Amino acid sequence: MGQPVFISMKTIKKYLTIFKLLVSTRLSADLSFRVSFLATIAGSFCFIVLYIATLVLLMPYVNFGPWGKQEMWLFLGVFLIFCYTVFYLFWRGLWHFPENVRNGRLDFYLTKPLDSQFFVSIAGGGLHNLCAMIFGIILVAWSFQNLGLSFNVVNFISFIITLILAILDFYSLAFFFVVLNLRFSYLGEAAYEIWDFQSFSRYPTDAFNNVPLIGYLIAIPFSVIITIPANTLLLKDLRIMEILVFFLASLIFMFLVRKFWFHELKHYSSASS
Amino acid sequence: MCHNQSVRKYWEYFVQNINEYLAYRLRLFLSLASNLIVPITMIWIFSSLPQSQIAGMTKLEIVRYYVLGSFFYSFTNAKVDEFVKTSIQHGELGRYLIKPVNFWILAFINDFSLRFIRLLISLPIIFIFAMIVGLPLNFLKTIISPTVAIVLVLSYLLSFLFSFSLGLLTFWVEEVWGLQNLKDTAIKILSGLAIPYQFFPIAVVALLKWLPFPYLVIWPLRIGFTGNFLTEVLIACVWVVIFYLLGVWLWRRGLNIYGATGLY
Repeated sequence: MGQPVFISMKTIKKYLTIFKLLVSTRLSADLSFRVSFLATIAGSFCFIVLYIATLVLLMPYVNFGPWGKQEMWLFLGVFLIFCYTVFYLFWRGLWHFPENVRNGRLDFYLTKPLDSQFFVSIAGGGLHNLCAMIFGIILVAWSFQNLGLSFNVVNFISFIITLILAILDFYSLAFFFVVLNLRFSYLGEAAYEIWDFQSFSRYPTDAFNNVPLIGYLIAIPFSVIITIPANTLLLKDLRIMEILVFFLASLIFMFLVRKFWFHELKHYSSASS
Repeated sequence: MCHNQSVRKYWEYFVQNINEYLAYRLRLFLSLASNLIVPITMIWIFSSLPQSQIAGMTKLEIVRYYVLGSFFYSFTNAKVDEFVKTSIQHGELGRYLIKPVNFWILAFINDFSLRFIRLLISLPIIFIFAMIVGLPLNFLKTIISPTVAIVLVLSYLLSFLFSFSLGLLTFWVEEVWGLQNLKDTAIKILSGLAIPYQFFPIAVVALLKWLPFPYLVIWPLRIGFTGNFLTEVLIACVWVVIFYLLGVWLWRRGLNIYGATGLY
C-alpha cells in the first residue's frame, strides 16, 4: 500500500530486465506450439481484416470530412499500431486479473518486491501481436509515401509521444475496469468489454460531427486519442496547446487510476472469493 | 420414469446455470452493454452524414438494422466453443464422460441458458438503446411473427453446431482462440452484422447466399433476401446437417486421442 505513486527512474533498468524476461518466456512458449502459433497469427490478423473490410465497404458511401481515402488508411495504420501495442504489452495481464482475484493468486503478485501495478499488468506479449503491430507500421509508411509527405522530426517525435499517451490512457481505462473486480468480486472479462470502446477510436473525430451530447462524452474521447497522433503524423497544423492539454489530461488520468488501484486493494481479502 | 429423470437432471443443470449467471449481474450487464458499442458507433457515423439515403437505406432503416441486429446478436450468436475448449483443455470432459449425461446436451444447455438470460436482460436494454438513438418504440412489432420464430430457432441451431465443431478442434490444436477470432470476424463481416448487405457488391451477396453466414445471427432482419424464403430455409437446413455431421465426426475422432487429463 505504501508504494510510490510513480516508479522511480533508478528502477527502470530493473523493470526493463524483467520485461525482457517475460517477453522471452512468452516467445519460447509461443514457438513451442507451432500450429497454435499459426492459429494465433490468423486470429490477430482477423481483426485487421475486419477493420479493412469495414473501411473498404464504407468508403464509397461515407465522407469522413477532411480525411480522404489515403489519409483514412494512414489513420487505420496508426490505430493498428495503438491497438496491437496495447494487446502486446498489457492484454495478457489484464485478461488474467479477474481470475487471479477470484482464486487468490493475486497474492503472488502483491508479495513480490516489485511495483504491483506493473507486475499485474505486464505479462509478456504474444509474437502474433507484434506481427500485427508491424503490419500497422507498414500501412502507415505506405500511406505516408502515397500522400507524398516529407519526414519531419518534430512531427514524428510528437507522433510518438502522443501515441504513447494514447496507449497509456487506454491501458489505464482498461486497468480501472479490471480493478473493479476487487470491489465487485467477479466481473469476468471486464477489460475485454472495455476493448469494444476502441470501435470509436477507429474513426477520426470528424466522423462524429452530428452526435448527441452523450456521443461527445463517450465517442469523442476515444476518437481523439488516435486523431491527435494521426494529425501530427499527417503534418497537419501542430497544435501545441492541444498536445499539452492531452499530455496533462493523460498524466492526471493515469495518476488517478494508480491511486484507485491502491485504494481498491484494501477490498482484496486474499482468501479468494 | 427414466425419461423423466433424464429431463429433470438437464432441467436442474439449466436452472443451476441461470443462477450462476445471475449471481454476477454486473458482469452480465457489462457484457450486454458492450455489445451496443459497435452499433452505436455505426449509427452515429451514419447520422453525421448529410444525405438522407445511404446505399438505398434511410437513416431510420439503418438505425433499426443496428438496434435489432445487436438484439439478435445477443441471443443467436452461440459461444459454446469456449465451454468445449475449456472442458477439453482442463480435463473436465473426462468427468462428464464418466457421468450418465450427454456432453452434447450439457453443452447445449450451458450455452442456451446464457442465451436465454441474455435475451431477457437484453429487452429493456434494447428499448433504452432505441430511445437514445431515436427509434420509434414499436420497432419490435415488425419482427414478431411465426416466420421469425422459425428463423431464430434455425439460426441459433446453426450457430450452436458451428461453434461446437470449432470447440472440438481443441482435441488437435492446443490453443483455438485464433480460430475463435476467425469465426467471430467471419460472422461479423459476412453475416452483415458490421455493415448491412446493401453496402456489399452484388456479386458478393450472390455468393454469400450459399454460405452459412447469412443464416447466422441476423437472418430475421433479411428474411427473403435471396428472393425465395424457402430456398433460404433449405440452405440453412443443409448447413445445419453439415455442421452436425462434422461435429459427430470430430467428436468420435477427438475422443480417440483424448487423454482425459486435459491438454495442459
